Amino acid sequence: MNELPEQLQIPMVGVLLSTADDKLFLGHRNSDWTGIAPILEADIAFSSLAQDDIAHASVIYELVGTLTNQNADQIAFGRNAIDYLCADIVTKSDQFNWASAIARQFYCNIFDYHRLKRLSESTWTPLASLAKRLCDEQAIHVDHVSSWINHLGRGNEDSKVRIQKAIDEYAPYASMLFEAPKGLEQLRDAGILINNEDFYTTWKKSIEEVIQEAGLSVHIEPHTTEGGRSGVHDEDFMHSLTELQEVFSTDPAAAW
Amino acid sequence: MTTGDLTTSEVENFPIWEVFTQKKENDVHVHAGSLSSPDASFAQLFAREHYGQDQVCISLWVGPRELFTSDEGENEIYEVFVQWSAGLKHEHVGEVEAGNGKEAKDICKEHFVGEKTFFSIWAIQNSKLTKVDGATDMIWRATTDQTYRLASGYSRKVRQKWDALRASNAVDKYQEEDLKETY
Repeated sequence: MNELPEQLQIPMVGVLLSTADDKLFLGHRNSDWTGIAPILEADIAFSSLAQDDIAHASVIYELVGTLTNQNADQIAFGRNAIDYLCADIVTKSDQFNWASAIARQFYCNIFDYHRLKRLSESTWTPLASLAKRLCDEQAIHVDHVSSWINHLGRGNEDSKVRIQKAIDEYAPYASMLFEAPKGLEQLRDAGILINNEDFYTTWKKSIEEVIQEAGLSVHIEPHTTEGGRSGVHDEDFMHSLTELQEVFSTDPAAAW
Repeated sequence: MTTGDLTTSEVENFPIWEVFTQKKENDVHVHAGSLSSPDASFAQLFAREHYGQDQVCISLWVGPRELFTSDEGENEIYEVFVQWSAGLKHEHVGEVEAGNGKEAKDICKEHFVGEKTFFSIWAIQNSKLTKVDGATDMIWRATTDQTYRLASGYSRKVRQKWDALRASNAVDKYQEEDLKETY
């Protein structure tokens, strides 16, 4: 299907925004490390992956724009806090602790991979084909961050303790990724998005495989309260948003 | 002095790896640069993001620097690379079967160089190279607009800005002002 029925456009915008917002803010957060990551090559690689995330966000915003008739910049930078639908793990500050940045990246990247895979099975063709291509790229992110988990877990006692601590610290935030964006249900009922309930289980299994391989442990509980996907954000998010909108709020037409 | 939580000496003791990239089918693998990494698996991941993303790249090889110039080695297939003159990059010329690194370079000289002049030859056992094939393991990401990563994409924009500046004579004025102070 190439044309999305009108009554499904708003639900679709919700699902797309939650996906793109996760990526935009994660990429923005990770770009904090440009120039200061622990080693030069990690710095270059992390920056490159951050660029990817922002690029992914940007093409998804373009797809949103085909439904809302806005341009990607307006959508990315021109909303109020309550209209951003990212899960707040993506903006949770790592306090410039590399292990924290890796743990955050790990949970989010594997989630993104499985989410894109599911979106690629959409019956709305423009989304399915875009998600398929992004998912292939996302596999690189998963490889990269899984290797970091493995290296840190199997590095020395110090690195093992630090990454374990970060994995534990981010675990409660990780399950917030699963808060369903508004509209998801409706799109599933209409058969536009696949509805299989094992998304959480699949993700958890992927997480556990890598963690076990690295000689670490993880404990995740499903999350139930309202959060980022409903526009309810924490302080770290607000800080990120202000930073992100700095240019746009001064000059919405700035070309950069 | 520290970089993050690693002391400089630890980082400096990471081995250096040489990276070769192939831009398109039928092109040979050309030396793209080097990087430092504690092991081969990180070396290929770093290479992918570093040398695999600054230009279109369909295949990438990574190997430890010390092996390329070593005369040692086992009886095996060696990948051989010739640097035709100083300042040029090493490029892959083929593979040879040899007993060690020295023999591999000698055979390379005989088979691939002949009477031509050259500057240096590198040889490495095939099994010591990490090879990433972009067809099965994506390297260059073509999904999204990646021109901002390329020198061409960057320079085009910069050129436009310079042209705009020049057209307004702003540069000349700026220089006049700037130099007034100096002289």
